[in-house]
Amino acid sequence: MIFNIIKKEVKELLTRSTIISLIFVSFILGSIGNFVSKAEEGVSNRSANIIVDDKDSTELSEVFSSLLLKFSDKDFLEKSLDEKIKRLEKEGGAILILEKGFQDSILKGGKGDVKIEWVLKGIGLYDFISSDIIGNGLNYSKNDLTKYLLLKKGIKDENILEPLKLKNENVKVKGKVFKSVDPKLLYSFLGKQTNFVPVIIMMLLIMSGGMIISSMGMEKENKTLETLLTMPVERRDIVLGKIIGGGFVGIIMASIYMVGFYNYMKGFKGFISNSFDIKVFSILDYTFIGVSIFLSLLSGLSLCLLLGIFAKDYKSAQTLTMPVSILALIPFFLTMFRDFDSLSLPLKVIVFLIPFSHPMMSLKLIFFEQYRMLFYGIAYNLLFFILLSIILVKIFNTDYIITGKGFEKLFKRRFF
Amino acid sequence: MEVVKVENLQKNFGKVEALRGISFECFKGEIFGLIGPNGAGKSTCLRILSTILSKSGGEVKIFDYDISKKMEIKKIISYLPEDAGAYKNLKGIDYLKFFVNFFIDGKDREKTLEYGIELSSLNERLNDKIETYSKGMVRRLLIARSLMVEPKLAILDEPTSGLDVINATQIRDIIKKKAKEGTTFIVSSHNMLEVDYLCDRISLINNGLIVESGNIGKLKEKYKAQNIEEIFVKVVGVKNDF
Ligand SMILES: Nc1ncnc2c1ncn2[C@@H]1O[C@H](COP(=O)(O)OP(=O)(O)OP(=O)(O)O)[C@@H](O)[C@H]1O
Ligand SMILES: [Mg+2]
Repeated sequence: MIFNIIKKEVKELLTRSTIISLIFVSFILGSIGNFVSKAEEGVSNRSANIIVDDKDSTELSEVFSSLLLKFSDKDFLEKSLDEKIKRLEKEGGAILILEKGFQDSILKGGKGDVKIEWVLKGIGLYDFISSDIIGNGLNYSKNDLTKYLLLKKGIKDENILEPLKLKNENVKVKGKVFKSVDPKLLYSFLGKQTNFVPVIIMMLLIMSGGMIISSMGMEKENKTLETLLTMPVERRDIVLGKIIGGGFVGIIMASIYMVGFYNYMKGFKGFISNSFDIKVFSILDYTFIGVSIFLSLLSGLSLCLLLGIFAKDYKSAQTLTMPVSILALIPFFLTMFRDFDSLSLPLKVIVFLIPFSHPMMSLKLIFFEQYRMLFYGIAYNLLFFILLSIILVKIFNTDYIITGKGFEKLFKRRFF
Repeated sequence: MEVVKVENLQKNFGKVEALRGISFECFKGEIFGLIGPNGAGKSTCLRILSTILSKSGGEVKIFDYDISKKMEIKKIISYLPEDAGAYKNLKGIDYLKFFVNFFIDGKDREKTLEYGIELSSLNERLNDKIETYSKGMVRRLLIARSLMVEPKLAILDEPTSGLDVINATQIRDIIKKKAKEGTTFIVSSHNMLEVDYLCDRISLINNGLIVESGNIGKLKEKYKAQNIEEIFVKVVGVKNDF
């Protein structure tokens, strides 16, 4: 008997739409995995753009510099200095400066000065790979230098175990310069800051998007939609009312979560923020972020309402939430790994077209004063919302909203 | 005075011909019954009359408005879908308030709402969430919703189906009372007893076509029948499932 029940449950739960959305999910997860493994490949390649500026020109400094250059990209090494600097600016890397007196201080039992000028392509996870490679390279080279001092020079002083004094000079990212800071610290600070907004967007979307879809499913199941459609109101008002109502509830729920998240974040913030100066956001900047979030939310909700129209009842509505969450996950991960400007063109297009990307990127964009991109995003979201609303009102004006059929008719007619 | 005039109305859902050219009219203050078996096309017809489905052909006029004048028509009609539910998370009273706000502005809202409360006869239960209501209570709430705004035309799709005798009688009495006050009703049903009790005139619909129309008493005479079921059988020629 139990098998009969199991069979019915499986049949009911494993519908075509669940399977399709599952396939979609696994496809997306697969491509994200691909992206990650590529990133890891980058790390194991163990080569980065390294320029060594040897101001000491002594035996030791030359040995050390050749040790370091083993970690440099082979292509890169063969370029002229001008080209190297150009490529460094474009792709990121570092200039390592061996200061005058490098050899002298080491031989006297002191430490050789090495200054590092970092150049980063962006502040995504992926963009910090080259600084990781260079950091590791410095470590390995230091050990080899110690070996060299021990075996070739016969020095047995314990000071040679730490023969270097490293100094992080500047970190240059997209024309912005952070003074005397370790790239790792910069990442942990900026990363946490800029991942804050994406998390909120995800929460907002999944909460209020899910709500609006199931509300449509419920309206159909209870036939309240039919009643509503016979009320003397414009269909436009019904559509907008649903979207804005959903957005309002979403904002309330998200702010409750945000309080918790903010307190969690506070733990990390304090001790780093005064260690280097960081762009202070103006009220206008916060307004831009707010506008971006709001428009993206409206876009998301209109998308959800569109999906909700396909829901026959409350249950089928539940599975429809999935594609929207996935759509939000794509820019969430992509912008976490890389900055928008260091994505490949197809990825750029995809990320731009997903209406949830723009507020997710907004903090970074403002941070690097890329306001134009920010405005493009806001304009795109506005356009997306208006267009989708028009389509929604059109659909609300057809039989489709009641029967779930007659879609062809919608397309036969002139659209706008 | 003609309140509704339907002429050669057709409706296709893809290949399915739900209505194949029906015509009828209703007059002010009468209760008009659209009677037929399952799948005959009753709901389809009522949905077109209440502007939520488009027609595939023919003419429909409501109070001299062509059916394409949706906004004007919606202001004077009320529609009760078959098997309708209500917003489960709302309280009964809030459900009524929600719909009052669509029609009436300002001072009259209170009065309309009070009338809705009276019609529902749910008393203090109106302050409970609708999810706690029985089927009969929900139906009374919906009837109250559709009649409190004093529509000129009320379109009720099987208003009493699935209700017990007592609940059904209550609702029929409300409909009769409102009709006496001048409201025009179109109701669909496949409960022949109800139709006999409730309606003044009926149209028998079968398979998307109206097969007979008229005053119930006269139809009984014409077909020498005891009840409507018998009339239907005689008209259609075979015994249908009601
Ligand atoms: N959305 C739809 N898509 C396709 N066919 C439909 C649709 N709605 C109704 N029909 C078809 O139209 C015909 C009339 O249906 P309708 O619901 O109007 O019947 P009804 O008289 O109200 O029946 P019932 O007494 O069961 O409520 C049926 O054959 C039905 O299958
Ligand atoms: Mg029906």
